[in-house]
Amino acid sequence: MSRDLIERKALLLLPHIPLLVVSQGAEAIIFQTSVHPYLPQLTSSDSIYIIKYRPSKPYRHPILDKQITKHRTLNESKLLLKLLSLSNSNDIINDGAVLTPSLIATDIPNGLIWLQFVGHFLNDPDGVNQKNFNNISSLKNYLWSIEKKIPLHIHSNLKEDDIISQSLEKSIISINYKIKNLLTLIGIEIANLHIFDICHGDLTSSNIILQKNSNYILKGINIDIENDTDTDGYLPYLIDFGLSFQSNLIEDKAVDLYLLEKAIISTHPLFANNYYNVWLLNGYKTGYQLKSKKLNNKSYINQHKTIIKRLDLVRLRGRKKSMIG
Amino acid sequence: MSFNLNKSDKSLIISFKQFPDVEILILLFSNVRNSSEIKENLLSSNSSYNYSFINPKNLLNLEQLFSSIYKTLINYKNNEVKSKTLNSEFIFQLSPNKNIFDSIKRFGIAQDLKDLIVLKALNIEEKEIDKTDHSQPNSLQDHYKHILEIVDGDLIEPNDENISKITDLDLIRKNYKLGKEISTDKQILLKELIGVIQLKGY
Repeated sequence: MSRDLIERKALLLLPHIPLLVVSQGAEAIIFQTSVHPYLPQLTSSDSIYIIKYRPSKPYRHPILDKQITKHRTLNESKLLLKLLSLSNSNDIINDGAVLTPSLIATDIPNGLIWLQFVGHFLNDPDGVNQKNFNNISSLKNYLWSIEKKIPLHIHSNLKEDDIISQSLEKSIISINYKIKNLLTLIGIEIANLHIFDICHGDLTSSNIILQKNSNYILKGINIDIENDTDTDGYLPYLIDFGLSFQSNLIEDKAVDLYLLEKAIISTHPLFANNYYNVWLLNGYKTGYQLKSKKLNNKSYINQHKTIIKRLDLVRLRGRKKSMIG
Repeated sequence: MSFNLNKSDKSLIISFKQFPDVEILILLFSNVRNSSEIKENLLSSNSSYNYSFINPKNLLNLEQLFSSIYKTLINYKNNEVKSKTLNSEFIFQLSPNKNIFDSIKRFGIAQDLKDLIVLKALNIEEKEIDKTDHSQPNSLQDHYKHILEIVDGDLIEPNDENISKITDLDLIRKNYKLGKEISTDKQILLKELIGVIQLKGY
């Protein structure tokens, strides 16, 4: 269906609401708007709200189509609410929280969800701050913006995977203890998600949005983290729970991690294997350790071990489980 | 959304962008002295008590109330109103409970309730109201006056500060079935309540 048609459909459902397309996937289209559905306009009027819309598909049987739209919209909203009620604070480390955009409003039968906007817009290379969702402070854009600053000759050295010069090591680590801390924190957050028995289903570096929060520092933990416990003042929010589901299966959690690993490799090929994925998995481990410590329950450590063992298997065979035998 | 708080007559009139014709009048009372009388009249379906009477103890602030009003209007638009009248639907949509009678008991007026929100939606067609009945007030001003006649209490400004003085967190925990671990962070608690309201009925 053309974007035009979808937009017109959305306008019928949302009369008098200004809509700007942010992105479009196979199943849903994301709009931004300056209007809150039921709160007075702020005088600063800089506010942004997100509307996720699953339009009806003309090729599906109408009755089935309604069921599918309702089911998927409901699934996503319910998981968002569940994560919100399971997280009693914003503290990923001490309270095991998972940060997600909060639910503002829904129109379930029509496939609409209004969500809180998280993140901000990064400056483009010329230092200009454009309010463009291409510049949204996703983990991907943030990492890219830092990767760009690493001198080119280091990039080319990197391709000879085995010889990593000391200067490279140094430059990456020194710029990027913040990245290390941030990815560790994200790893912990994903562990928290899995401890709640929820799998994201589409973990990528663009589905992690960084929200500036200057008040937050990693505190009260002894994890493998650089002296400076700074994450550049960022808190990671997980977004897009369209493919998420509840599961306590080791397999599902391992596949969730595997997909993230793959996504990181394809968006950040130079740093994925030696740095990013290592840090993420370290954080993931830390998440389970923290939980185990907090509840004084060793089973979380074992759970983590089983998941990582399974992850090794999944890496060998890919995410599809063989149905033979 | 338009938000008209009239400080001199302590009335709030709101209207949502998506439903520009619908105007909603909101009044807040304290020291209400005739709750049981109001309740009796509601039970006997006295047609001059054609308003939503809401227990504000269940509210953290206005946002929570607006969220449920919005949800009611969305349901109305989708033809999914569950209770008999819009008045009761406004109360019903505040509650996480699927049982209408129980919801109205918990979120509506109770016999010795001292604090009260009275709400009236205008320019929205009711399915079962007899429109030929001209004795009923029909302008915002008429309704305002009429509510003051019905409710024997002190009108106070319907704002977040006044509501927060009435808020009963224990009652909220009970009525929203939040369990023991209720977030001490009010902002997070509000988001949770709004989420519950938005997903009510599913």
